[in-house]
Amino acid sequence: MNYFLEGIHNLLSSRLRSLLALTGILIGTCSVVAMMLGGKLATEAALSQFQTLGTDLLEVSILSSSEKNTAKNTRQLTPKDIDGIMRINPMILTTAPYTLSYPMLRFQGHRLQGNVLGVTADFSALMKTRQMSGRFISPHDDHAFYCVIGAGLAEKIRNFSLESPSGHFIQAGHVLFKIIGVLQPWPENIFLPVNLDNAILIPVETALITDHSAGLRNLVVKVRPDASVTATGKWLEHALQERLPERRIFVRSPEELITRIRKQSDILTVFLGLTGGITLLVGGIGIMNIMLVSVLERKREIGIRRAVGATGRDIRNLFLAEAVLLSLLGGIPGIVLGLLAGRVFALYWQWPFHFFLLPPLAGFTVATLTGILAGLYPAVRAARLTPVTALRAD
Amino acid sequence: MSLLIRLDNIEKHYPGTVLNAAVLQGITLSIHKGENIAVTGPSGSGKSTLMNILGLLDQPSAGHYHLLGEKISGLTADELAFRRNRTLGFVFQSFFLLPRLNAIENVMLPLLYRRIKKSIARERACELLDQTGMQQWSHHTPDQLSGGQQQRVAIARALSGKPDIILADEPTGALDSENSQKIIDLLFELNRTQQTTLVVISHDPAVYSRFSRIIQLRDGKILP
Repeated sequence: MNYFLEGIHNLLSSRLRSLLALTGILIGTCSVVAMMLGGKLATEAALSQFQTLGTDLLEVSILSSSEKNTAKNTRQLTPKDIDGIMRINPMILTTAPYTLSYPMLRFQGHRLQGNVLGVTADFSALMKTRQMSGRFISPHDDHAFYCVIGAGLAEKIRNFSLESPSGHFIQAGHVLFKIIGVLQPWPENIFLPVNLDNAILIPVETALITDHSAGLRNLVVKVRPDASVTATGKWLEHALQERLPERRIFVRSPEELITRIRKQSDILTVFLGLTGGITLLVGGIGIMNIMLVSVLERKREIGIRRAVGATGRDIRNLFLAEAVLLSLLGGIPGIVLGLLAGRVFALYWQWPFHFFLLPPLAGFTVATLTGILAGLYPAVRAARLTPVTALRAD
Repeated sequence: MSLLIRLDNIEKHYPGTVLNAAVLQGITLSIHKGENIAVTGPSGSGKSTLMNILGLLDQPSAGHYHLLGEKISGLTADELAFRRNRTLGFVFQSFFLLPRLNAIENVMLPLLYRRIKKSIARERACELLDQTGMQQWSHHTPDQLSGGQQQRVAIARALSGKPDIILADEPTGALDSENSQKIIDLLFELNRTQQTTLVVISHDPAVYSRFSRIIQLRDGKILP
């Protein structure tokens, strides 16, 4: 007995009603798929900024301890101090200490918003900056008054000066710096507390002598590919703390952040999926309703089928097949629509779009399950009708 | 003549009705292969209930029913369905064809429930429609057929499983007298040529008078 073929036959004979029932499932499946996919895409977008920099990095913050330590009793750290510590551990590949300060920026008398980073040459490789023009800070710049500016600042300067900023001077606080290079736009990254697009980058030595507020408080550390990032992070925290007992050391690894974000987003995805699931539940109730009406209307048919030899199971399967068909006819276009909706989300929020198997698979599974569950009760009711009561119906 | 059906003291009550009224009481009868039997009586005399019990569509409240020597009380619903499918063919007053299926699909239905291959079932259904004079209508749905034509399709369906007995409940009740005669002629022809046992309910003297054995029911009892 081909229940599905008969099911199609029956569904086609009450088109409007079938259409209404499957619309419920369509919307439900669509929202399950779209919500789950949206959650996944948002997570990936959040994680992609880590992945662009690589997961073999550690970020270290060196803060003064809670007691008021002025420059008098705590010596300023220098890049050489840091270098000395780092050299002990062979697992550390590169270290890029940097300073951060917020002096007033001026270019040809125009005020600009931005920050000043004192960096070493290695900073460029670790933060994956690329030059639009000129060059980056080099080890030979030492105490020079040179700077590299971010793409955003360069754009603003070009807007009012109508010429390339390279070769001109920019004023940071009371000091003038010659612009020797412009960076390409840099995707913002929570690994760095500032956006390089709005920053001017100067040699770290220069930063330490020109601005006393700019202490060496941050480092980015690249670990050897075969080393454990977590273990190196622990060592680093310990080693720095031992040498700098008067400060507080914080080490963050992207890996740790990624796991945390993943965990949170998994919960988010489940909740979004559940929200979609509620819509699907409503769709399922719609199917159950339609199937119950159908059983009532087709009592006579059930009686005839029983009289010519259909078993209870034959009748149950007939109705179950119709319910499952309905949910698949709604579910499959729902999955397609849900994927499209995910694509639209990605376009709107400018997330990179990836295809994930889980949302459509989950959509398909829950749509089928909804069909079975919603169809089961009406189908069993139909199967339990005795032939004589079914035949007596008018 | 071999014994097909034996009813012993069959009773049927509908619990919950006034005085738990008996619809059938003390029904004892035997039906042999090749017989043609008319069951008659005024409305409410229990004809249809008797037919439902004979057709395994309903269970008696008391008494014994043997079909082909087998006691049917205690069989499961599916076992009853199996026996309906193999042993019995039904013809109803209002035809009871499935409206969504065409003539040939209606005739094939009992065979498909026997899990017979579709192509074979179609072949057999074709033969039967030919036999009942309906071959040229095989692709028409019931609403495109006249009452007489629908009943012919229904008879073809009843015959499709090669049943031992055809049970017909007022098969001509919805037909004019000309078509009535033709349908009864067809049933008699099957009875004669294929030795199909015929049990027909009718309260039309023009119909029941033609049968060789007439069972008269009154108030749920067989008149002697």
